[in-house]
Amino acid sequence: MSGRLWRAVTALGSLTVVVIGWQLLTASSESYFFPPPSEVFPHLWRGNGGIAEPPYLSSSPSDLFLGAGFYEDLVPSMWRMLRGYAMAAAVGIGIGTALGLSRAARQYTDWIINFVRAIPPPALLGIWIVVFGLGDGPKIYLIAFAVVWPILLNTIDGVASVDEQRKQVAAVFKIPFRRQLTGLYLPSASPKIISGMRISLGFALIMMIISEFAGATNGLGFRLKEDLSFFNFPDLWATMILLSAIGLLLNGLMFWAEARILGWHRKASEVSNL
Amino acid sequence: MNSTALSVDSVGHVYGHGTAEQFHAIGEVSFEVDRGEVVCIVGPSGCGKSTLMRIMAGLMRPSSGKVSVDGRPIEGVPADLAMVFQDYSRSLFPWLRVRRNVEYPLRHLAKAERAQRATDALANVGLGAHDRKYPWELSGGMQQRVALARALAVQPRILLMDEPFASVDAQTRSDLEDLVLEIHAETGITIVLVTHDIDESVYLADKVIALSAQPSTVLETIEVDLPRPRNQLDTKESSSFLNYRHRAYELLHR
Repeated sequence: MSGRLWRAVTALGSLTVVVIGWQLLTASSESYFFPPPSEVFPHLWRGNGGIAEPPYLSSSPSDLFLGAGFYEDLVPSMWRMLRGYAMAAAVGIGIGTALGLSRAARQYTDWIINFVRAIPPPALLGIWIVVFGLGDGPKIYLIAFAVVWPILLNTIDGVASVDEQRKQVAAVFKIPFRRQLTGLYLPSASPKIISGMRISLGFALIMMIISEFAGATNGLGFRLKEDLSFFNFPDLWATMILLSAIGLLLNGLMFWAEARILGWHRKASEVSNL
Repeated sequence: MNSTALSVDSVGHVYGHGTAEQFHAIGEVSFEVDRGEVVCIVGPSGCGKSTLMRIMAGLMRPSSGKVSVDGRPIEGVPADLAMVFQDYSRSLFPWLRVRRNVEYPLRHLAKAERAQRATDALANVGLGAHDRKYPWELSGGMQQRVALARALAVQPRILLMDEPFASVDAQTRSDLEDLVLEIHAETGITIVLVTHDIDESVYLADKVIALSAQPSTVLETIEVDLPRPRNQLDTKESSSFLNYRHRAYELLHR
């Protein structure tokens, strides 16, 4: 516990140094693009009048300290990201399992996957807006398309590398195929699937921002673009800080979920090589 | 009623037939296992014992010959058959606790029945107190007991064991041998056990089938007429045990 406390103290200490350094550097600078933190942080809960974007936080306890920006930009962004990520997980795990089970299917699709995967996802944004319209659709599909690959490839690998002897166990005990899927293949592949999902989660955040650069009327990506056009640099940096906090939060959530789902794997790996 | 539980009839197996890596694992092997018998298949390393076991379990088709259970040639894994694999760490499911591992093949049963069978099977192998642990929290010998409990819980009539004690230490090994004898005495289950250990084969078996190096054939079937119950001291020190051991050793080291 004291080790953990010490880590918190050192982290807080270095954070303070960085913020003070940031303040000193930017306050003495003439640059309009790099406002000091004393100007940036207040933007999280206070707009700057006229052309300001609505703040993310508020000082009102009855609003749970959440501002209009939380509902108008943050929530729509996260909702798009979540749906895109969920779609990628469903498709990646579903198709990945099917391909992992069949060597022939893998051979036929291997080059297709590599070919499609090589397309830089943002290149598709324009055409998808044309095809799917200006709503959430193209953004969600773009996120899903971009982040599906780590999940898909890891699922294929995980399912295809289920131990031969465990498959024989399932065969000897006449386990029906559906239960082999849920009781053997997916749990056995879960360490790889989840590591794919961790990679995808960070990527989903990036793609969420990119998808909102065009054809959006709200969202954090849209807001960054607006801030740039209206020279609202304090809000731009405030949004940047918010994004960083979201990234940390998602990482923490993933870590927590992983510990819960894969507790057996971590501890088993310590005593033997599975 | 026919007293033959399982018969292996002119079984031969060639891996990768017609390819450069063609490997003739089993020449021609025939033997019969009577109901309630313990039969040990013993042979040098790489003599195709494990291949033979997989063929008997219906996990693979032999290139020639057939295996019959209760007089009927098998298509796939026969009913009422269970198996204990050599490598317990790769046969148990590390994501399930011990009890859930044992219950895994029993999902077609009602919950209460399933729980009862797992409890009984774990008690039979002396692991009643460890059912909430994960397999990897247990020693190798205990993990193999879990695998044995999982096989017993399906209440099979035929139990196949593929070098079940090859990867545990000597002390644990003799404990597990005695456990198998106990379970056999209690249930009268038919057991076919593959081993490369001559002492183990004579100690456990009613019949020792000595296989040659690959492509394997039956060198000789030794009927082991030692009284049961057997124990590690008296049985292994008896002159007849030593005679059987001598005979098996001669066959395999010729």
